[in-house]
Order: sequence, then C-alpha cells, then structure tokens
Amino acid sequence: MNRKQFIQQSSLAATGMLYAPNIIRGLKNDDVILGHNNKRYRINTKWSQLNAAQYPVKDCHEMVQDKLGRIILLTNETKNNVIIYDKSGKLLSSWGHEYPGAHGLTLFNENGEDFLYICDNNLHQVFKTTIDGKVLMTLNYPKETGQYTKAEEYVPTETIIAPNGDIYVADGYGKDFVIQYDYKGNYIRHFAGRGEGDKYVVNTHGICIDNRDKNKPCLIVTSRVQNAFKRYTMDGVYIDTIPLPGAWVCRPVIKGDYLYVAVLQTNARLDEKSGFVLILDKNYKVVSNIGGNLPAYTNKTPEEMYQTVKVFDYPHDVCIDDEENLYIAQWNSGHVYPYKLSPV
Amino acid sequence: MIKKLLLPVFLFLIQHCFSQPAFQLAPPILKYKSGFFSGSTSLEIVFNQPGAEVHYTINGNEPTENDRLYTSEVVITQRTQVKVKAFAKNFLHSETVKATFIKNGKTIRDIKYSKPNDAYANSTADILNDNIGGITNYRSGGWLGYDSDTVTITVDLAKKESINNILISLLQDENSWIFLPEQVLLYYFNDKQKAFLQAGQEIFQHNSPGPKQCNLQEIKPAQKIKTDKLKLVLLPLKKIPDWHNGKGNHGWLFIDEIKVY
Repeated sequence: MNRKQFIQQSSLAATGMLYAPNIIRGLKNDDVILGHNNKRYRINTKWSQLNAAQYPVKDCHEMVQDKLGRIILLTNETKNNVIIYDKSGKLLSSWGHEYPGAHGLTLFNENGEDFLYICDNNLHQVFKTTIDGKVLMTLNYPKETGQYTKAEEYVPTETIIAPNGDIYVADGYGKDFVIQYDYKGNYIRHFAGRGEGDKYVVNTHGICIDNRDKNKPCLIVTSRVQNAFKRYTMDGVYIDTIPLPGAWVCRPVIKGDYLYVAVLQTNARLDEKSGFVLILDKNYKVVSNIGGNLPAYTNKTPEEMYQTVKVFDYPHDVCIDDEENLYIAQWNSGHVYPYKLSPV
Repeated sequence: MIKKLLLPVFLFLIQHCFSQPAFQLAPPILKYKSGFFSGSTSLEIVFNQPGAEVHYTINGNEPTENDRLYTSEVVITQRTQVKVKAFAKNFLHSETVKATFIKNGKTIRDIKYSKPNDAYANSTADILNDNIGGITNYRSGGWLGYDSDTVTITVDLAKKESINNILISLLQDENSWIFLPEQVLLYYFNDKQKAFLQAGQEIFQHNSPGPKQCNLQEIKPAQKIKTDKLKLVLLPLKKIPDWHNGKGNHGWLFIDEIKVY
C-alpha cells in the first residue's frame, strides 16, 4: 500500500466513524424490515424520482405493471392522469387530462396486446383504452340492469376482465352492484348490491378473479365497510365470505400463490391514517401485515387487525411486479408518490 | 486531494438525501367496555408488534420505558387515567393514548333531555346514566348527537344532596364536525323560590383544533348548594370556525354520560 492509498482509506474510515452513530442509533427506516413470516420487505419511500411541480399527483389510486415491465400509475390529477415509470422509479412517459375522477386501473392482455380499463368516479363511466391512452370503448351507467335512473347513481371503482374477455365492473361508490358485460360491452347480468344477507356487499370497492385453482375460478369482491371479501362464481352466484375484521380492504390483487390488498384504514382508528397492507395465502389465511399487527387467529377467523407502524396513511392499491416487488399507491396522503417494497 | 474532499460530501448526500426518516409506531389499541363503572373494571391493551413493548402510567405522567410494562389486563377500582405508549428499537415511540375511568357518583333517579337528531338518538332508558360510554367512536351507539342551538338536560337525584361537582362526558371529534359546546350552564332547583337558579357556567373557545377524545367536563357550583334537581343547558357550536373545513356550518354536540358528585 502506498501512502496516497493509505490516506484515502483512513479518511474513508474517519468519515465512516463520523456517520456511523446516526446509523447505529437506528432512527432510520432503511434497515427496518416490515411484514411477517415469508412475506417481509424493505421499503423505499423515495422510489418515485418525479418532481412534484412538473408531474403532480393528487390521490394515487391504482397501479399495474404492463408486459414491458413498466409500472403504470393512475391518479385523479388531470395534468397527468397516467404516469408510466420504469421499475427504478424513473419517468418514462405520462398521458391523460380527461379523467377528473380516475379511480380504477386494470390491465388486460388481449391476444398479446395490453389494454387498460379506467373507472372514473366523477364521469360515472368506464373506459377501455390502449396502453398510450386512445379510448376504444366507453361503458355508461348500466340502464339495462333496471337499477339505475341516472348516471350519477353509478360510481364505478373497479373492473376485472375474465380470460374470455367478459368485463366485470364494481360500482363501489354507487349502488354496490357488480355488472357483467361481454367483451364488446353488452350487458349480461348484475349481482351483489346492498341488502340483508351474506350475498350482499357494502362498498364493493374492488374485484379480481382468483384462478389459482384452475378448475374452479371465482370472483373475489370487496365489501369494504363490512371488512370482508365475498366470493362469487364467474356467473355471480355467492359462494362464501372471507372476514378480515377491522380492515377496510380496497382491491384484491392476486400474484402467484398470494393475494395482496391495501387496507385503507382500520376500525380501531377510523379517519386517523391507520392503513397497512395485508397478504393472504392460497387458503385466504393472513400471513403478513405490512405496517400492521402480527396476524393471529381465533378458530378460523383472524383477530381484529390494526396498524402498528405508521408506514402508510391511507394505502389504496398494491401492484406486484415480475420480481415480487410491491408498489403502494395512497389516497389522501399529502400527494405522496408510491412507495416501493422489496422482498427480503 | 479532490477525491478526499468529495468522499465526505458524497457520504453526507447519501445520509441526508437518500436516507428515509424513521417510522413512528402507531398507538396501541385500548379495549374496554366503558369509561364508566361501578365496583371495578378492567383495561386490555392490544399491540402485537414483534419487538415492541407497551408501557403505561396511572399517575397522569407521560409513560417512559421505565414505567409499568403492560403484560395483562389492568384492573381499575377507582377513578383513574391510564396513559399508554409503545416503544421499539428502530422506531420512534408511539404517541400517547389515554383512557379515563370514572366511578359512579350520587344516585340518579332520572335524566330527561332535549330530543337529539334522529340519526343519533337512542331509546335506551338511562342512556346518560347507564355506565356505558367513554368510547370515541360516535357511531358506537352510546352517544346522543345534537345539531340544534340549545340542549337542556334535567337530572333528578334519588334524594337531596350537597353538590360538589357535575361531570359531563362530551365527544371532541372535529374531523367529524363534533365540537365542544360554546357554553355549559348549570342550574339547581331552589325549593324556597320554586325555581331553577344558576349555579355555574363554563365557556369554551374554539380558536384552534383540538384532539379527538372523550372530554370529561367538570362543573363545580359557584356556591354551596343542596338539591335533588339539577338542570344543564348546553349551547352547541353554532358556527364552525374558519380554520376548519366545515367553516360556517353548525357544529355537532355529542354527549354520553352525566355523573353527580
């Protein structure tokens, strides 16, 4: 080692010493591991590299990954309703100025091409677009159901597209029906809605298809105010309820063997930024709560769930990428960009 | 040499630009049937975060890691305020959460009250004296909610008593437009004059936001009084102040229990 190298190395060591105490003190979340069991993560709250003056967001409602690996965010900020990132948080492009109530974002790969389905709360419509925003189809309020007299009664929050192209729309802020259409947008049937009994829902905020059992695909429908998911057959016959006490679950998202869902808030602390992210296994058993309590069961029902770490305010959606990283979009959380979590 | 100077700058940037602030623990969940009791009651504290500890005090002080460690239900036999906080390595400690437990006072025969708003009415007999309450959820069913200008409550005691103190449990939940009243006026029935005479008054300011809590307001009579009939007049907030997003609207008043000592 020559003298120059020695000086460089010793100055590195000294600087290291200088900064070490802050790190050792541990009051930094870079080293914090969140979640439980085999679903544990490190968080990056500064994933998005966007300048808020240039690419602002309001509520970050939902996110999906496309076939090119890009992460697509939907916000109700009409300066850029859709923001497209790479996985490192770098901006690739943005589009959309005409969706003031942009809420639900679903991606469907149709014969090799990606299409987006956008639910707009304010416009009371659902749009099918190309990946760069060209509108191909618009679904207006579902008169055909006989349940609606005007557009304002219909406030769609989510869609899911079946492998055969059927479109299911959840009217989560309207009358809580799920409306099923064929791939061209022709009405087939409606189900769920409000009422007395297990087959009904309150605040059907999200919907997904669970095809982990290839022989028995089913729909998982959110009943957020009831803190539960309800399962239905693909033609709308009620199967059963998955209770998630205390948790205001948003949209279910299935990736691999697991179901991920953002919990907007909890009953234990309503209207107090008490959200977290919940992960269920194949048997709908809670295995991990990111920012929430260690999952515990009494008989077959989870004990009431609640936030334990203030990681999130009001998380609204989870996107899982091809490397099992999570991206969390938040509603009403100070215009915050999504966070990224990487598995450990 | 330049390299030597750049390195600390680089490390400084890493430290301050890329590091993330520490997360704070959420407050533990306090579980109890009611903030009011006769005989004894208990408090369960729920906080299942691996590595975290919950500490509490019953002397009114802010809990520290040296205070009582919560391990099992806290049994309460007298008026007590429990303050609770969670601590864990690598996290900022939680905010303090508290619960107050109020023991029965003088025997109340009957309480009559103005008609609440239909959405927050309750047909339970003795709703204001049933030892059920003290929970900050206004939908919990124990509360009476008012959006009127005046709320009148009369309290009949089982017998004539010297009155030292009247306790009113009010909800403060400004996010839900529920405020403390502008004023509470206390009257007692004077046998000689056969009329209610004023015995006390509390005035509340609404200049800045307040916490979400069950606010236990105590009113002491200005003079010595002995009576079996009291009257409370509460004046809900007529105009929500400018700092609130409901400014200009009528505020709500929520009340769930009255005790006389």
